[in-house]
Amino acid sequence: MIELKDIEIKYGDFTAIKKLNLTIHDGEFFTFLGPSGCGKTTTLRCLAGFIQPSKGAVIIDGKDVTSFSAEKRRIGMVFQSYALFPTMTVYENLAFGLKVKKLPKDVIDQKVRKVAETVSITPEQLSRGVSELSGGQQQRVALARAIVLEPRILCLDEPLSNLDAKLRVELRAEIKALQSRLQITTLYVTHDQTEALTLSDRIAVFRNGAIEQVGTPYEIYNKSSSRFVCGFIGDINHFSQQVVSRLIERYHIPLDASTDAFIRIERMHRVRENADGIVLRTKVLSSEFDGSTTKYTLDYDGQTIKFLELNDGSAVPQTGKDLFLSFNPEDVLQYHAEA
Amino acid sequence: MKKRITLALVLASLIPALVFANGSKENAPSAAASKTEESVDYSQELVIYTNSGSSGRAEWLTERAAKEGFKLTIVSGGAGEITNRVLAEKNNPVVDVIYGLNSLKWYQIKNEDLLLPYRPSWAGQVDTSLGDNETFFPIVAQPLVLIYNKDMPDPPKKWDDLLNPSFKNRFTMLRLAGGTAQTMLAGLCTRFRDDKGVEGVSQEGWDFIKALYQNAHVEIHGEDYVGSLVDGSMPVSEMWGSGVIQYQKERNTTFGIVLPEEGEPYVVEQVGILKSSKHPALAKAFVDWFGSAEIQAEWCQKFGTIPAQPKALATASEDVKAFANACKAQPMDWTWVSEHLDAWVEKVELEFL
Amino acid sequence: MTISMSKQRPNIGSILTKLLLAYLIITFILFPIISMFGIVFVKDGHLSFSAVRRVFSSPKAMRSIKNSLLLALTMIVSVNLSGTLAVLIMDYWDIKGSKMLRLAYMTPLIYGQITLAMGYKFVYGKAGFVTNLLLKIFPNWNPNWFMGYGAVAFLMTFACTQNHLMFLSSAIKNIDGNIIEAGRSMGASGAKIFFKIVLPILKPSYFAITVLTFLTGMSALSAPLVLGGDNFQTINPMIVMFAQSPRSRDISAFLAVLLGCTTIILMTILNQLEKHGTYMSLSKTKTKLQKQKIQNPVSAVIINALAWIMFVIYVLPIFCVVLFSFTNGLAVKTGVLAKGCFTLQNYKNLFTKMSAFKPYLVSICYSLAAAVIVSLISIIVARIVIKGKSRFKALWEYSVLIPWLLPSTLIALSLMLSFDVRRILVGNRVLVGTAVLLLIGYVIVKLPFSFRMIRAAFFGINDDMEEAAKTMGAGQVRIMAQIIIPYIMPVVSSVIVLNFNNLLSDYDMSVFLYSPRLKPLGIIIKDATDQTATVDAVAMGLVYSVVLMVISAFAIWFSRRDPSARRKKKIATAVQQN
Repeated sequence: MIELKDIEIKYGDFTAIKKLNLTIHDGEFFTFLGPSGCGKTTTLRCLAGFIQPSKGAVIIDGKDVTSFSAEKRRIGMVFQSYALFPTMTVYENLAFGLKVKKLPKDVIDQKVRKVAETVSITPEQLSRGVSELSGGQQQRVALARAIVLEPRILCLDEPLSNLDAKLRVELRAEIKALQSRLQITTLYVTHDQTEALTLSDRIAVFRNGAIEQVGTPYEIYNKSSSRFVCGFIGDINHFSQQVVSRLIERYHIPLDASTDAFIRIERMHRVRENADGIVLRTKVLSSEFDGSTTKYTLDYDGQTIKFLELNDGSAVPQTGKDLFLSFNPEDVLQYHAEA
Repeated sequence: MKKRITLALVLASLIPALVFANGSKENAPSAAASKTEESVDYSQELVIYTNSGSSGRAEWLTERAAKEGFKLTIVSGGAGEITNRVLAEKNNPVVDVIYGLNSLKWYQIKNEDLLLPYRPSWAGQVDTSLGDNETFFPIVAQPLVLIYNKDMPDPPKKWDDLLNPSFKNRFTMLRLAGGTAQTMLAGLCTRFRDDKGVEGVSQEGWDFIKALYQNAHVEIHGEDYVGSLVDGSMPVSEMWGSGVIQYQKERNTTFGIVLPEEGEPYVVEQVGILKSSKHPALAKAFVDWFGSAEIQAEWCQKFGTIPAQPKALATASEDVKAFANACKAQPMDWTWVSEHLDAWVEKVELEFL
Repeated sequence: MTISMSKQRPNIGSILTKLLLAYLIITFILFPIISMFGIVFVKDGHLSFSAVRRVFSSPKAMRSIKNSLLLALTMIVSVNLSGTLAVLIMDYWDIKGSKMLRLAYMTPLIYGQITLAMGYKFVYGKAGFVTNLLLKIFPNWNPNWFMGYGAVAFLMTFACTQNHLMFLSSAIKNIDGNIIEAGRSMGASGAKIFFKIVLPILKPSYFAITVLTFLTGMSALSAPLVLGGDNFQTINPMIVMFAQSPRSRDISAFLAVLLGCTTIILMTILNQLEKHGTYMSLSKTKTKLQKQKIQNPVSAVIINALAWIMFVIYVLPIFCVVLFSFTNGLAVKTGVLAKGCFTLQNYKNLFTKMSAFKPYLVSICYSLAAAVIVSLISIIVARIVIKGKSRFKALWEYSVLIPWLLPSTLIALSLMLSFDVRRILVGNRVLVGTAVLLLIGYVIVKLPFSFRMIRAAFFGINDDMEEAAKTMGAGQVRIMAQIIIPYIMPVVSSVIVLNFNNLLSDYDMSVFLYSPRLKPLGIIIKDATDQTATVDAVAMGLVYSVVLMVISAFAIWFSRRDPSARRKKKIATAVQQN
């Protein structure tokens, strides 16, 4: 179990992390999610031992490791830049940490080969220089290098951000598979919400050096605890306070008239013009059809809203045509003004 | 790559090791020097400094001395360099015997009380007034002269002639960094000695020297000024004694020699023993051998030097004898010169060039 | 209960290293220089600045200072031009015969200044063949035409391109090929790409090289001595001469201070300029720079012509030096190839006499040891300066740059004057007369240059790499030895080779500091070119120089051959065997 207790990190006068508390369970795939500059990488580096917190403690398995340097924390790290040693071959990169541990040569060789196989590096590639590999292969080497020492914790700092979309999806799956096979506690830093949602057991959403919400992907998505979280994750429609009051007036739905409201774009559904209950008349501005779904951009009462519809065979209305939407009031998220 | 670094590191660490092994020698008590046991241990090595070791002299001497059982390490360099080195090393002396240099440098070394008083066995045969008759004794005496191309129609007869505008840029003064030019400057200053003047030289003297240098071409490092003399483009030059003999042979020509009435400054090469020598008995045996008429005669025949030993000079070749007999030593007060020479050189360098 | 027992433990190794470094800097750089100034400027117990008056009232000194400045400023322009041109022809433009051109252009890396000055005299001097040719065309041509400012500047322009060859060339090779392709795709011409894209990227290299070039010009010794003639003598020969005489040492020291001041001024200006616009590589993935075709036919003709003219300028002196090393001494001294002057005797002398070999061995050992030690120190200091958080890191930087402000003659002198008595600082020993003093001198004199170059290499290191190694448990020493040093090795080995080649024939420093039993090569060569040297000695000096060039060339080849190919093969076989 990893505990971060009252962590505060300062760079001169600037406070990068404010009073952060977090507990990560064994074997968990835990993701730090947030926009750039929110403190997620700083927190990871503090946990890994590259940064000393000005206040607070890092506790691993009940042991205060705050003053321990990185190598004593048994952490495997994958960097955004991969940080492969360019003067060494793939084999040498993988064997580096094992040599530091002064393991016998045959053990090193065995471990290197095994880990290479795990991440699909061919024996032929082992003898190449790392700069001769493609980006995806370099990423695999970086991953292999981090796990070959069988670390207690695996840290990945934006590992996929330098890859193209297809490779990113592919490697994402590999990382997940590897993690569940090794059952290793994994910390993953990303700004990509899809990566976070698909990979994680739990997610911490960061904003301005503090955690906004911690929860499972389901909770984070469906029960976003703040305006920021629900806006940062997924697509969402925003109804201003006036719209909300008008809706309450007309349909008597149990919403708070004093503030605005949010609803996920896939939680709306198409209805007939004369259906019962809530019916919003909108005009189609544009639509994107990608086979399984259609994403509409609509005009509702002067506001632009979006709507995602699963392809059930019904016709896609053309631009300028009317489209009628309804929603379940329980799916509406409302927050009171933030401090 | 790693191997290469390691190798270099090993090499690098070897050198200090070597040094400290060396360094321990300086701890040898100086008492060893005073305890002059007269038994000569030929197994020891003598370190000899000289400014007269180039052109194969050092090699010849090493080989010749080996026949007599002496083991020599000869360090040669310019006169100033060797003197500076002896003075700098006074607290960690390496050298046993010095030969060569000129009286000026010898007095500099003697003033630091570095020399061992010793009268060599051959001292009675030479003019000891050329040395100090106590710690260093003459072996080679060479005059410093002005030479000219014999084909020139109007050769100079004395220094004063060179002030004439007709000699403008037609004669070479050697660079003042070298010993020859410095000693010849000392000769000029001696002519104009005036203890009330600037640095002991009268105003007339300074005017003369200034005019001389400004009329002259000063040697450029590495230029073939002897060639310029031979081809007539710069037909007069300063020259040291053995240089006259050597270049005449090399260029297959005969130089004219200016013989002013005040005479020529002589550079007298001497030999002496350092107080700090750890093998004084051996050093004395070497000095006795090296200064002897026999060895000086061989030295003279081999390298065209002009020996201070009259017996050795008698065996010299005719051109050496003729040259030696033509010249006459200009009387000079070396103590006075050594007090002022650096100032003179600086004055000429800074103000007249 | 496991409560944190210690705050981040201070690293004993790093503290010891810093202490050792501080000791070395204080003992061998600060103490000697300060005490030398004490000795020189304190006369009879009080400060004396009569040197200032003597220098400023001396017409020769003022001329020399002016000439040195003129030469250094000329060189900033001319050496940058010739060096850039040489590097572009070798590495940037696609020119026929570039392999041969490269061989010629690399020659400044292998000869010493004395040898080179001799070579130029063989070509352009009184009896040189260019002079003879000119005399045939213009019978009234002055045979001593190659003298003075023009001659010195000409020689220095082509001879002082070492830093361009080493550092500008590697900077050009490091440029991301995509950047140039991007420029081209936007329709920029070759010239526009070069001036607007390539040159700005190279700016930091130019700043560093310009400082070095200026220093070379200010402290030029052999070229003005040999080719300056009556009218173009410079400051450093005066410093060297007056340093020899105890009475005039203050003049020498004062001239050196003047020289140091001009250097400080230039470095300050360049540092200011450098602040506005340093460039950092943005490319994550670089493509190799392709050699550029010269599109404009007029430019192509001009550049090709320039390339081959420079080829001739470089090759002639070297050719002459090699040619004359096979002649007797008289030919060397007069520069005239008479009938029957060719001989193998010189080489025979060298290769049959054991005593002739010893100076090589001495110089190779000294130079290699010094080059390696100075690189190690530079690496450590560069790391402290770049990684350090302490306020003192600027102090480290300036301490190792101090020797730049003094000509090597004075550094040697300061060591000699400071360690001729027992000093507590060095274990109550006298260092003068020992073999270690020359090594120390060599290290000090090469420290600023090595540090400057190696520090620049450190900027390319990615912090992540180091942290990655840390998480795998590697200690500081291992990180240095296996990650950082291999990464900066190309620069380090260039620095080592340049220093090695430079020190091989060093005279200025050696003459003061060598231990009698270990006489380095520079002394031998200089003896051979001395006034009183016999013609045989002159010829031998040339032979020594030629063999020296061969050694230097070998050193360069050794450092430049591709080590990765061999290593990779080794690993591949190891991998297959397992």
